Amino acid sequence: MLDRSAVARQLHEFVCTELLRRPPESISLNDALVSGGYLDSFALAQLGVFIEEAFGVALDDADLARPEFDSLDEMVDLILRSRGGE
Amino acid sequence: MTAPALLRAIDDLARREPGRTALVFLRPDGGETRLTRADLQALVEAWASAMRAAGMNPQDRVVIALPNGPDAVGAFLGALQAGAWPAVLPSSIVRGGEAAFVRRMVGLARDVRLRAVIVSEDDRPLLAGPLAAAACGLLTAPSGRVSLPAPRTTPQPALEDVAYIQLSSGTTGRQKGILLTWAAIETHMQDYSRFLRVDPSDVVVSWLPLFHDMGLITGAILPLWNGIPTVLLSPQDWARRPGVMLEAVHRHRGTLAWMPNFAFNHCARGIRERELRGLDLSCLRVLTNGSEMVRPSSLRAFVDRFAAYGLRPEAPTPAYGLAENTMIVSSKRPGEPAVVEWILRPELQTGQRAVSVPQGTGLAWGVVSCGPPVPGVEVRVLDDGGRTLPERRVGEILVRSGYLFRGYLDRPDLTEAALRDGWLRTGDLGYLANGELFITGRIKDLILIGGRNIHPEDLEEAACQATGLRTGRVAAFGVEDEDAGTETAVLVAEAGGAAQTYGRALEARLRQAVLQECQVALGEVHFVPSGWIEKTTSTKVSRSACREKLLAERGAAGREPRSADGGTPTALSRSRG
Repeated sequence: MLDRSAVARQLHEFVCTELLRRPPESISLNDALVSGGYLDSFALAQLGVFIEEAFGVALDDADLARPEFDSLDEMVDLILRSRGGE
Repeated sequence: MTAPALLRAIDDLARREPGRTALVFLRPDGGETRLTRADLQALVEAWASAMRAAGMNPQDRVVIALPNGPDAVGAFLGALQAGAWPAVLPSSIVRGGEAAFVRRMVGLARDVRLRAVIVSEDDRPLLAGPLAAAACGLLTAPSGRVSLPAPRTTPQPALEDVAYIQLSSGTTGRQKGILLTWAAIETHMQDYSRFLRVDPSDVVVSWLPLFHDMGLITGAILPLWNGIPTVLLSPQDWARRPGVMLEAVHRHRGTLAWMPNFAFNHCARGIRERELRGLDLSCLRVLTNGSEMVRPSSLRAFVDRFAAYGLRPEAPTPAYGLAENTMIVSSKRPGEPAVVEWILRPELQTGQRAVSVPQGTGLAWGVVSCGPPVPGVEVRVLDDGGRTLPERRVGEILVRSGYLFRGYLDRPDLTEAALRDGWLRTGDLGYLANGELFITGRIKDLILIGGRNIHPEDLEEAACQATGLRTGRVAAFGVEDEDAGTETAVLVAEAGGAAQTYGRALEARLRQAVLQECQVALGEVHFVPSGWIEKTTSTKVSRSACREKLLAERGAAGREPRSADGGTPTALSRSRG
């Protein structure tokens, strides 16, 4: 069972340090990262690889392209849902 | 008069071996559309007939804004056959970018006097009204395929006539139409194909968009010229799953490919190990790295990651080129290893000299050789006073060849400024050593992200419009992002009190505007105090000075991004005198 806050923390850290290279406190869990112009499709592809390696959840392109895969909170939701659906 | 050799090739190939594969399109749905030479000929004829039927005349200007795929290639070649001047542009695919797309098309229709725009059925409703109001035609794919060649009533163009227009990036007004003649394309294809030793067993694999100069030439023209198959992918699909390209190389035994430097990083970082299982990449003999600065770390990361799958270490092929020279200026020779020089940063910055030192020496910066000029191209390096510099001295790169552009569409003033006694001023900085070309920076204020040239003015305008800030209060520039193997766009804004009160909301609005107007995700947004933005003596924003200042402040705060190549020297962009 994955713990929600642990997933959120790891995801937050990866997105801030590896993809956005900005201090974690500058991005909150409900910021719109895709529609808000932070993450482009290249960053999303790398995020997909990270999510699969870190959480064992294989999200396909359609998942990553969903309009509701936008904020860290929504991303965590999808990761937990995908895990739960195994 | 006979048709240009490139157009003759369509018919010759179909006559000789009609059933051989000419084009394979790997659809985003995972399926494959395969066109034989006969299919391609029929598709081109269908497009040419549709354009003639729509009243297209020779030299009419036409924009093709179709997603990558057979129809984009068919429409381009069909337009050439109909004698029109086609230019390939992005379709409206970017989510939220529809309004900007419509504005761009209407602006072009008006400024460039377009005869017609060719779009997909999906984009038709967006454009029908606005283009009709601008008295510009709108065409979509011909419904019935014509199986018999339509009678050719078009007079054949002469070799010195313009064949097509390569549009540069930038919004309307800043976009330049680079005119290329039949002679330029044919001479370049001949010289460059020989340099690469292209033979009938070669197969091109390309995810590059066809509106990119390197994408159009290597994905459509070079394969046709050489009678070899081309395997095309959707760039959007590739961005989401970079593994699809390597899978295509494996499955179709791809031997030749071209992509910008950032794509090497994206492949090295964005592919899951399980996607690589069983792949054999040993067939890939030339994988050209061009259209942005080649980074040593990108080449290394790519070879390290994929050597286990048979990638030949000498396959990655650094090159330098620009659309004004049709495409390639210089390239590493096939089969030879890539050369990286380590040069002293202080000597480069203060003396404009490239002093080569052993790797690992303090203050050394890795620069990749873009190889010797390809046959038919001459390269010179000039100082500020226009004097030719000796080897290892850094200056502006000038190029002369048998395939320079004819000029910029409707802009003789810009054409004149770009040429100097028959030599093309590239605006790029570099040096020659042992006859090979090394690129170190550029004079022009462009931002190069992922092989795309982005005008900082476009980003600044979008930011000002979204926030109400005045011109001069905002500056955009590129800084090195070594992890991504490209530049990242930075925007600084003197937003005053608004930044304190509405900081986050202001940033969000600004990012969204830049994304929708320019399709650029800003890497960094900084709100700076009033007076921070550096100006030139003529009170224009000095982007290079702003960039220096930001990097200096960051360096002082100890936040210099980590770097394996010694980072990019900060004083590389000079402003033109």
